[in-house]
Amino acid sequence: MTGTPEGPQGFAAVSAPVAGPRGPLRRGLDALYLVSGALSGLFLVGIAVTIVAQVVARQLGGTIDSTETAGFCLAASTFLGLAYAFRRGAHIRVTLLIGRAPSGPRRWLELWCVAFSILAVAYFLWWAVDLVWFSWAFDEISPGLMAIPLWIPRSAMALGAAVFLIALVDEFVSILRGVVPSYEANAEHVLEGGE
Amino acid sequence: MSDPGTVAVVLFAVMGLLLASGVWVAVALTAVGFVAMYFFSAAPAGSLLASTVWDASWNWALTALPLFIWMGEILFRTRLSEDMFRGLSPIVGRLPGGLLHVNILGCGVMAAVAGSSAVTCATIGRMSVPELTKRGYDERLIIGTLTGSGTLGLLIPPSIMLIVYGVVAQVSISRLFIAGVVPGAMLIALFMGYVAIRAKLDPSLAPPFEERLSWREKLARSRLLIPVALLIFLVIGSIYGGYATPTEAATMGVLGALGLAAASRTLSLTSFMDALMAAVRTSTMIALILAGAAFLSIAMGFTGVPRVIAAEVKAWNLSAWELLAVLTLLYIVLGCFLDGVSMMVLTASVVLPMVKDAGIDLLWFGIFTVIVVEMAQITPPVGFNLFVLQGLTGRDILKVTRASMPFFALMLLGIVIITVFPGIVTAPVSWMISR
Amino acid sequence: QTWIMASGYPEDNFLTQNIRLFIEEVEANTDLTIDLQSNDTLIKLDAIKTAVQRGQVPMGEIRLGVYGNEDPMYILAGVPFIAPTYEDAWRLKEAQKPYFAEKLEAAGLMVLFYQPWPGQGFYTKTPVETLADFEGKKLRIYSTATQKMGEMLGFQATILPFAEIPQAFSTGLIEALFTSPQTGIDIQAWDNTDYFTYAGAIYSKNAVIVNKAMFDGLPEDARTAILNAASLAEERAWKMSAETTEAQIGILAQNGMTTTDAPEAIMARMREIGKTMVEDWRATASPEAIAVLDAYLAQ
Ligand code: NA
Ligand code: NA
Repeated sequence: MTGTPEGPQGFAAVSAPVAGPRGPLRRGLDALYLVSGALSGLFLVGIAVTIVAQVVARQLGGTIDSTETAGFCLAASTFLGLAYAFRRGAHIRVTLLIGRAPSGPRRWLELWCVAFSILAVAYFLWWAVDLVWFSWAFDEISPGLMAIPLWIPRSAMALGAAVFLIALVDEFVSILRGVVPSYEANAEHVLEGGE
Repeated sequence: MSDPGTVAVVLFAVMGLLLASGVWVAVALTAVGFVAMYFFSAAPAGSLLASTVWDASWNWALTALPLFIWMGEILFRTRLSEDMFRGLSPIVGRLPGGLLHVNILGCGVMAAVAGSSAVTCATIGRMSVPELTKRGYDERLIIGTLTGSGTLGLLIPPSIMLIVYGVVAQVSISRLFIAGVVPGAMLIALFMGYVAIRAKLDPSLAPPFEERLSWREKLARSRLLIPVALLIFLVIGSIYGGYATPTEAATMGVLGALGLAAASRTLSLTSFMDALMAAVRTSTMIALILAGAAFLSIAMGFTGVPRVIAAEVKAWNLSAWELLAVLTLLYIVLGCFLDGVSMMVLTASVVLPMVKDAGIDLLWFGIFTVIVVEMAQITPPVGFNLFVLQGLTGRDILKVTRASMPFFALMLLGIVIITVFPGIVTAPVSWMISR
Repeated sequence: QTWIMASGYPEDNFLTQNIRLFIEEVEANTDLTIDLQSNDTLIKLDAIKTAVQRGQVPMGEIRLGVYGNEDPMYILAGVPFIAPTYEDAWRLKEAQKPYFAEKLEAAGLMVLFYQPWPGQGFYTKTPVETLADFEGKKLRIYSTATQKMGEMLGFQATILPFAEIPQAFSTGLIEALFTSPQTGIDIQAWDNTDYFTYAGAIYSKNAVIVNKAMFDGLPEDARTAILNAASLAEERAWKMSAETTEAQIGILAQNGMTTTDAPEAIMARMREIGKTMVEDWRATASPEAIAVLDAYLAQ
C-alpha cells in the first residue's frame, strides 16, 4: 500500500520516473500504464456510482440493478489496474531470499520472477481472449435486469492482462539492461527502515 | 487419479519453490493451480483458468473490498485518525498496552461494518500503523494486533464467511449472525488481555501514557470521536435502518469519508486522486490474489485431494472430541494453502455429515469453523491478513507471521473455550429467537 | 471412466436427490462412474451451462430461467398460470423439448431430463387475505419477469442478490419473498417471516445436460442405458416435485409458519397478470418460439 502524503501526488503518482533514456517508446509505454491505471480508478468510482444509483432508486421506489454492473466495474478495475500496481510495487511476494541476495544473483532471480510471470500471464491472456471470443460467438448475456452481453465486461479482463503482459516484458528488458526494477524503485510503505 | 499424497507433495514443492524464489503471490497461486489441474485432473486447465478467474473477479460481495479500502485511504488523508487516537487515548490509554487497544477495538468496530477480514485489517491498519509507530509502540505488537483482530471481520456479523457456511450447511444465516457476536467479543477480550499482560511484563513495548486530564478536558477530548462515531453510525445505520445491504454499506462509507474530508477541509482534487489511486493499487493486488486462490481451490477440487483427506479422517471413526481435535488440525494445515471459503466448501460434503453423526450442533460448528478459518488468515504462505500487512508495512511475510503467531494461539484458546462452554455460542441464539 | 457432474443445490434438495437416484441407475447399468459435486462446490450454478459446453465437466444441472435474456423461451414457464398444474407443466415441457434440443445442440449440449420446481408462494411477515396486503410491501425480485409480476401485484420491487436475503429481511430492506417451499427451507425462511401463502401457478424447470461430443464418445449400450435412466428420472422428477410440495409446506408449518393457499382474489389477479405477461412475452419471442406456445395452447 503506497501513496503517503509525502509521495508523488495525484496523477503524477501514476508515472514515477524510471531510470534510463526516455525515448518515445519509453514515454509511450509509461502513457499506456498511466491510462490503464486511470481507467482502473474510473471503474472503481463506477462501482460506487452504480451502487449509489441502486440505493437511491430503491428509496424512490424505482429499480436499478447494480448487482451486475458493480461486479463488472470491479473486474475492469482489477485487471486494468494490474500493470500500474505492478510498476508501483504493490503486488506482494516473499522477499526473504531475494532481499538478501547479493546484486549479481539477485538480478538473475529478478529475471526468473519476471520471466515466469510473463509465461503465466501470456497463458492467461490467451485464454482470456478465448473467453471473450467464446461469449461473443455464443452470444452469452448476463442474467440480470441489465442483460449485458458478457463479451463486453470480459474484454476488460483480457485488455488489462494484455497491458500487464506488456509491462512485464518491458520490465524484463529493463532488468537485462541493468536498470533497477520499477517495482523496487517505486515501492513505498508506511514503515521506513530496513528489514 | 494419482495418489493424493503424491499430488499434495508435488504441489507443496512447486508452491514452495515459486514463493521462495520471489515470484509474486498471485502468480504463484495460479501456477500451482495450473500444475494441479493440468497434471492431476482430466479437466481442461486453460478454459477453466479464464472462467474461474472471471467468476471470482466480478463477485457482488467482493465489490465492498475496494470501496472499504478506498474509504480507508480517504480517511487516512484527513485528520480523522489523529483525532480518533487523541479521543480514544484518555479512554484506553491508561490500560497497560495503551493505544494498542485502539487497534483491537477499532477492528472490532470495523468488523461490525465489513464482512471480510482483509478489509477490516486494511482499513484500520492504514490509519493506525503510522500513528502507533510515531508514538513508539512495539512494531510486532502493532502488526500482530492488526492481523489478529482483523480476522474478527469474519466472526462479527455481517460476515461473508457465515453466509457461505449457512448456505452450505443449511443453517439459518440470521442465527449464525447472532451466534457470532459473543465469541467475537470473547476474542476481543482475549486479545486485549494478552496485550495488557505483555505490556505489564515489558513496559518498553508500549510507551508510558503521561497525560493527566481533568474530566472536563477528557470530555473535550472525547468530542474528537464524534466524526468517527458519525461515520460508524452512517455505515451501520444504513444497514440496520434498512437502507442498504452490508455490501452496499461500503459505498455509504466512501460517501461519509468524503463528507468528513470536505468538512475538515482536507479534500482537494489532489488528495482525492491520491486516495483513489492508492486504493487501486491495494485492491488490485488483493483481488488478483483472491482470483488466483479461487483457481487453486477449484483445481484442488478437480484433483479430489481435499475430499480424499476428509474421507480418510472419516474412516477413523472418532469420538466428538477427537473429531474436533483432528478437524482443527486438518483445517489448520489446509488453511495454510487454501482461502477460507474454499476450505469450507471443498470439505463440507464429507465433514458436515461426519459432524452431524458425532452429535455436534451444526450452528455451533459454524462458529468453530469460522474461528479456524480466521486462523487460516494469518498462516503462511496463503494468509490474506499477512498479505495486507506486508503490503502496508513493507515488512517481509515471515516477520509479519511471527508477529501474528501469539494471536493464532489465542484463537486456538478461543476454540478450546467454546468447546468446553458451548453455551457461549448457542445461548444467545436461543435467548434471541425464543424472545 | 469417471465423469464429474456439477449441480447447484444442497444434498437435501429433492432435485439433488433425484439426480442421485439417476446416477445410481446409470452406474448399475454402465461402466461409467459419475462423481456428483452438488451445492456449487466445484462450478457455480450459473456457470454450469458454459462449463458443460466447454467440456470442463461432462454433465451438470442448469436452471433454465437464468437464460431468459438469451432467449425468451427459457422463461416461458415462469409466466404465472401459463401451466398451472403438473399435467400442464408436463405438456408444456413436451411442446418445448424440440425447441430446446435444437437450441442447445447448436451449443454442443444435450438435455438428458427436465425437473420441475414445485409451485411458488409468498413469504410475508403479515397475513395475506386481500390484494391490499401486498400494497407497497417491498418484494425481493431478481429478474425482469419477477419485477413485472411483483409490481402488477402492488408490491414495491426490490432488487437484491440471493445471499443478502436473510440480512435484508432482518433489517426491513425487504418484507416479502416469492419463491418455492424448497427455497424457503434452504434459507430457513421461518426466522424472518411468519406466513407462507401458496399460489402454485408457476412451475419453472431445471435441466440435466451433458456435453454432446462426450456423450457420443460413449459406447452405444451405455448411451442407451443413460437415456433410459434419464427418461425414468424425468417422470420421477414430476412425482417427487408434487410429493415434496406437500411435505415441504409441512416443514414450513412445523417451524411455526402459518401456511395457507392463496385467496381467490389473489389467484384471479395473478391469472390476469399471466395474460398480460404472455402478451409481453409474444412481443419479444421469435416466430418459432411463438409457434411452440400456440401449439401448446391449442392442445
Ligand atoms: Na463482519
Ligand atoms: Na493461511
